[in-house]
Amino acid sequence: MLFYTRSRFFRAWQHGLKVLFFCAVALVLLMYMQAQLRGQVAELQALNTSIRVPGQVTDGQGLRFDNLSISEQLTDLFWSAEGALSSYVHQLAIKASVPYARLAEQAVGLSPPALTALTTLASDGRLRHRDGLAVTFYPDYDEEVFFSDNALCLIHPAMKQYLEIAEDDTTWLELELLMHRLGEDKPESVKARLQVVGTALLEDENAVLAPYPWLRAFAGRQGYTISSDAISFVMRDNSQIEAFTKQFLPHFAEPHMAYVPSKHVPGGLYYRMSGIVVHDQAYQNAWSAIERSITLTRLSIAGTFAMVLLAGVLLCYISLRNRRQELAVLLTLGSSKASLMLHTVLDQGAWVVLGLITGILLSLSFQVSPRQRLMMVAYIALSFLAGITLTAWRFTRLPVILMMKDKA
Amino acid sequence: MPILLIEDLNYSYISKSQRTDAIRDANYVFESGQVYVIMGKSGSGKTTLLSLLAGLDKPLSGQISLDGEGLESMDISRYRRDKVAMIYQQFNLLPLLSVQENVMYPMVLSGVSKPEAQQRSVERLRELGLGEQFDRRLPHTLSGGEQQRVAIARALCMPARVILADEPTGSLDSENSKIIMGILKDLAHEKGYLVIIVTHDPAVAEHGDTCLRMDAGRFPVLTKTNHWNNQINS
Repeated sequence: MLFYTRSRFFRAWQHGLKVLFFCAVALVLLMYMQAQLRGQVAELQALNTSIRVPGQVTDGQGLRFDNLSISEQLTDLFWSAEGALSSYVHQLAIKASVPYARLAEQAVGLSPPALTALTTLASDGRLRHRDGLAVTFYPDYDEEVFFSDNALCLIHPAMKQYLEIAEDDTTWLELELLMHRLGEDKPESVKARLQVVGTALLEDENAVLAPYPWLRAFAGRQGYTISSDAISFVMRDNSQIEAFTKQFLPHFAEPHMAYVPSKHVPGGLYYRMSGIVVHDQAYQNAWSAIERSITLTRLSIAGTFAMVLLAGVLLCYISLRNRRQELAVLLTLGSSKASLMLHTVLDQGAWVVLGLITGILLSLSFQVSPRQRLMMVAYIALSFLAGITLTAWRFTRLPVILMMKDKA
Repeated sequence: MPILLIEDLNYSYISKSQRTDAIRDANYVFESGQVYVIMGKSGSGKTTLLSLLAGLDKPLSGQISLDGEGLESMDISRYRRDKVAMIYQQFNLLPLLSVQENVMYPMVLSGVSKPEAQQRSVERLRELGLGEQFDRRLPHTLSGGEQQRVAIARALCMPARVILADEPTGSLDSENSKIIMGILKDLAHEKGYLVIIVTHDPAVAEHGDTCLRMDAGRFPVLTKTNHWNNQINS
């Protein structure tokens, strides 16, 4: 019976074009929306790394970010390979200060001399606006030295008078650090010898800047403890903020104005007098805005899917309704209901296929995965198949007498 | 030899609000080689009866038998395809098929090969006076008489021996009516077809061997053979 289908295909092309147009437009629309959604999801994913979410350790109230006296154990959470928080953060800046006794007699300035241990220059507020004049590294050294456990340091130029020059022309500084043993209030003097790798032009002429890992290792080897003044960091992956929060809550509080710092937390090894703030407002705002757009796009896609199904069924219904007398004639001539349904599926289906091919060609430039492309094509095809089958089934169940009279 | 039998036939149109009895206890035996004309007022149930005979719907009760076999026990599609052929006032040709394709369609449906169907369709069309120039034309380009001849050609190409005609000349002028009735009479008298015609037209009734009157679903209320039409229309 292909000649019937073929004849209808060529001679009822006006109706066929409607089906073709509908399928092509529906497919292009769905592809476009899917591409939009894909773009929005990618944008959302990119937010996890493109927006810089910084964080800082604070006091319990979130008022102070420096001179915090953060214990070694808490500091280790951030920087040691085994630290619970270390995998979540990067651009870590730790600052710790250790007083030292001046070797020479003369005093330069009134402030107590101290060695400042850093992981990055940004750890020290005095160095954040680095302009190439404040800090000068000697050749072969750069900022990376602050994240090593080498005995290196930067000094103020005024301290050059205290340097030793070794046979290989390297310059060294020896300091007597005043360090505390655990549980002891009185400091002990410990000699430390550091290679000078540059100068730091700070206001404080006693300034000595050394790597924090070196100080941590140096102190640990000799049984001394050091506390950190400040810790700041940047989230490595913003999607991990929630997991990060879960990890830090057993150790730190979320800063609260009503929080009263206490050293007497039952069973607590760490003082929960420190808190963490994560400055994720910009990230959350951007995330919410994109998520709203995604929700809207998803709803639009769902609505469009429903509309396509409805319109497909309706188009088939109208088409077959206009043909019910013809269908009745086919039945009177002895066509079975099954072959009638096959006829209708074939002659509409051919235009649906053409419409889908047109839609695919028109939407080639949209960024949609092959799987989604296939799913949408299948959906439209199935919508039409459902429409054709349902309406053909409906009409073939009607009394042929009524169909013949065009009253069905 | 009786071939089409109706016994205690009843049929009603049932809608949500009302029930209309279209056929009430109809009984009759139609014989082959005869032209039967069924007359009656509009709404008397003539077309409904014809449709039931054509297997287009099932009676509420009663039985229709063809050559002793009840309709209810037959495959209805096969019955429509192989046992009866319908001719309508509005011709009911398939509008998107050419004249030849319209005639071929039932044959192809019955499993006749396409070349043979083409040949037989051409033969039938030529017998009915439709030349080669009509073969590829679409039905809407033909006159009423030509369309009706195509419809008859289509009916003749089916293996059916029963032709049911619903106002076959209703859309035709008197000249074409005569031609169509002549063809139907010849089919009955010369080829042994059973022809049942439903009509309002007394002129058509003149061509029948038997005239049956139908009234308010009752069939037949009056039967007359030959020269009866004056009486039946009184």
